[in-house]
Amino acid sequence: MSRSYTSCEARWLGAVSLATVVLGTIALSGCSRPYLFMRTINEEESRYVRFQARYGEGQDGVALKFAHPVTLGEPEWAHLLDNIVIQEQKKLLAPGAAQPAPRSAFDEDEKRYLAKHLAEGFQKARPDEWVVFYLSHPREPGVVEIDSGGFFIEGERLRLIVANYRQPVSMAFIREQIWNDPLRPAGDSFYDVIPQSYQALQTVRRKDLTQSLLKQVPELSIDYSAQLNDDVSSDGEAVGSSIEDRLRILKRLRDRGLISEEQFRMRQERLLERL
Amino acid sequence: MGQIALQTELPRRSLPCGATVIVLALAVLGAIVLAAPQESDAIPAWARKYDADCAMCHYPVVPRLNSFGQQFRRAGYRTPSEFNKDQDLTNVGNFLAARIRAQLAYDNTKGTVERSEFRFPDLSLFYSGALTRNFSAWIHAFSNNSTSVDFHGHVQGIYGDSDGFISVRVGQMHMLQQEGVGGFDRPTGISVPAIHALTLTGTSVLANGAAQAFHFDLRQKGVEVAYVRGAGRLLFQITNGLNQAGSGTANLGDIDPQKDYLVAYERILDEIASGFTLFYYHGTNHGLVTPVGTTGAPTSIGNRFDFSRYGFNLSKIFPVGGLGFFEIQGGYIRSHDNNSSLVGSPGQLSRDVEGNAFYVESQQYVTGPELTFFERYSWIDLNAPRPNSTRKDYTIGVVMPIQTRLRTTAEYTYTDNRLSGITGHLALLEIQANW
Repeated sequence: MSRSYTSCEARWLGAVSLATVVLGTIALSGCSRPYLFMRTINEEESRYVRFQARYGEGQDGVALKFAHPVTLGEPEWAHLLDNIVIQEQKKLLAPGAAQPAPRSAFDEDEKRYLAKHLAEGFQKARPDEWVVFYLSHPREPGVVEIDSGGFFIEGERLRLIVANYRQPVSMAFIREQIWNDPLRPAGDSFYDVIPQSYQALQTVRRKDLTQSLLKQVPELSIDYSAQLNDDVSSDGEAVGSSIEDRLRILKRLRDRGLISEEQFRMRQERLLERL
Repeated sequence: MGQIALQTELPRRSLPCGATVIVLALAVLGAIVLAAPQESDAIPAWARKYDADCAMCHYPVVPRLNSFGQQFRRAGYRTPSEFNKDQDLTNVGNFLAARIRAQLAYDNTKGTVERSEFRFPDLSLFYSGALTRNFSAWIHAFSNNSTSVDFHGHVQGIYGDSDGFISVRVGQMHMLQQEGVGGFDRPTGISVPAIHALTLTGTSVLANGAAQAFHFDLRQKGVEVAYVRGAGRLLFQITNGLNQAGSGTANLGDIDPQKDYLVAYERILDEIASGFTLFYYHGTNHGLVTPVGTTGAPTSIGNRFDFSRYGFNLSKIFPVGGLGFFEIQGGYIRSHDNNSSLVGSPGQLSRDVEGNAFYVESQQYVTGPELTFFERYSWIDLNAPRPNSTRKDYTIGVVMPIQTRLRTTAEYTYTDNRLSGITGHLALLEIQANW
C-alpha cells in the first residue's frame, strides 16, 4: 500500500513539475520583448510622434537600413496621409445595413499634426529608426479611442503599419502598453485599410520587423514618389491647398531628382497658368 | 540526457492515466500557445455593436468583466453615453451571441471508477441588450451535457443617469455568483470557488432535509431592486428560494408563502477588476414535498426550516512592473441552518448547523503571452461543532486566449472531503469559443 501511495504521489509530482516547466517556458518566452529606443519628436498629453528603434526581434542597427533621412514637406505628408483610406468592416447579421463608405483614415486635425511632425521626423530619422505615432481621443466617460502605428521608408516605398485604429480602451495599463509601444496591437480591429493608387496592402507578417507583434496587422506599402508626382501633374484636387504649396513640392521633387528638369518646367507652367 | 532517462524508464513504469491526461493536455496547450498567433479574447454581440475589442469590457479573459464591463452590465448593457437614448434594434448581430465549451476531463475520485471523458458542459445562445431608453432584456438558452435545453432571462428597467440610477430586474437571474464583483463574477478558470458553488452545511445524521442545498451559483426566479451610485451598488433580491430538489429554477415554482431575500452591497475598487461584496441571504428550506395533480402543486411539505448565509468577498489587483498583474482574491461565508428536526439526533448537539467557509486565490496575468495562472484553496466546514466535517479543494490552472473568439484553459483540482471520506482528482482541459 505504501509503495502504491508513494508511486501515486510521484506521478502527480511529476505531472505538476512537467506542467510548471512547460508553462514557465511559455510564460518566459512570452516575456521576451524587443528593446525599444525612443526619441521624442513631439509629445502632448494625448498624442505624440517619436522615433523608435527596435532591437531583438530579428533586426539590428547594422543589418537594418531604412532609406532615412528623407525630406518631404508638410504638404506632401498631408497629401500622403489624405490618401490613406479605411473602411469599417461589414457587420455580422446586419441585413439591409449598408457598409459604411471608405474614408480618409485621419481627420483634419490629425493630418495637420502628423504631417507637421512626420516632416520634421523623417528629416532627422536614422536608418534604424521608425517614426511612430500615437493619437487618442475620448470616446465616452472611461473610454478613449487610440490610433497608433509607425512609418518607415524602404527604397522608394513608404511603409505604414497601423497597429491600432479607433481602438477603444477602458483600462489604463492597455493605454500605457500602446503608449510605450505603438506598434503593439491591443486587440481586434473593426476597420480595413483600403489601398489606393500606388499603394499595396501586405497582410503577411513581417518577421524581420514585427515578429513580436501579437497580431497580424495591415502594412500599407506606398510608392510615395509616384503618388506625389501623379498628384502634382493631375488637374484634380491634389497636393497642398495652394498653388504656392504645389510649386514648392514641385521644386523639392526636382531637387531630389524624383522628376526631371523638363518635367518640372512643364508642370510649373501648368500650375502658373492657373494663376 | 533527459530523453535517454525517459526512454529507459518507460518500459518499466508507463505513465498512469491521470498523468497521461495532464501531459497530453499540457502538450496540446503548449502546442496551441507556441503555434497560434496570440490574439486576445472573443467577440460577442456587444463587441460588434461598439466596434470594440473584448478588452474594453473583460479582464483578464472573457467572460470575466473589468470595471467598465461591470458598469455596462449594471446599466442594462448600456455605455455611459447611452443613458436615456433610443436604441437601434435592427441589427441582429448586435444582440445575438453564442458560446460553446468542450472539455477533456480526467476524474479519479475515491469510491468511483477512474475515468477520462469528453464533456460538453455548455452550448449557449444569448439574445440580449438594451431595447429602449430605459429597458433591456437578457435571454440565455443553453444545453448542459445533454440534449435538453434550458432558458433563463430577465427584463431590466433603468431610471436615472450614468452617475446614479435605480435598476429593477424581473425574471430568472443569477444571484451573486456570475454577476457580482470582487470574485463573484464568472471565474477566470473553469470552476467556480467551491464555497460559491457547493452546499455549505451538512450532517450525516439525517438522510433527508438536513443538508442544505443552497449555494450562490444558482439562478432564481424573483425580482431585484438595486441602486447604483458611482462605483457602488446596493441590491435587494426577493426570490422563490429553492424547491425540494435544491433548484431555484424548476417548473414547480415556489411551494410556500415565504420568500427568500438577499441584501448585498458591492463596490468596484479600480478600473481593472478589483472590488468587494458584502452580503446577507435569508431563506427557507423544505424537506420532502408531496406533489399531486397535473400541475404538481404540493399537498404537504416535510421538514421546513430557516437558514441564512452572510459574508464578504474581495479581490484586489496589483501591477507587477510592466510584466503583468498579481491578484489576490478571497471570501468568507458563515452559514446557519435552524433545523429543528435535528434535535435529539445522535451526534448532533443542537438544532443548529453552523458552517464556515472561506477561499483564497491568487492570479498572475502575464501581459506578453496574455497567460493567466491561478491557484485557489477552498475550505468548507459543513458542520462546525462536529469534528472531521471539512472539505478542502486545491485548484491550480492556466488560461489563455488563442486567436480571436477562443480561449483555452487547463485546470486541476484535488478534493479532500473529510465528512464523506472522499478524496478526488479532477483535471480539465477546456476550449471555449465565443462569437
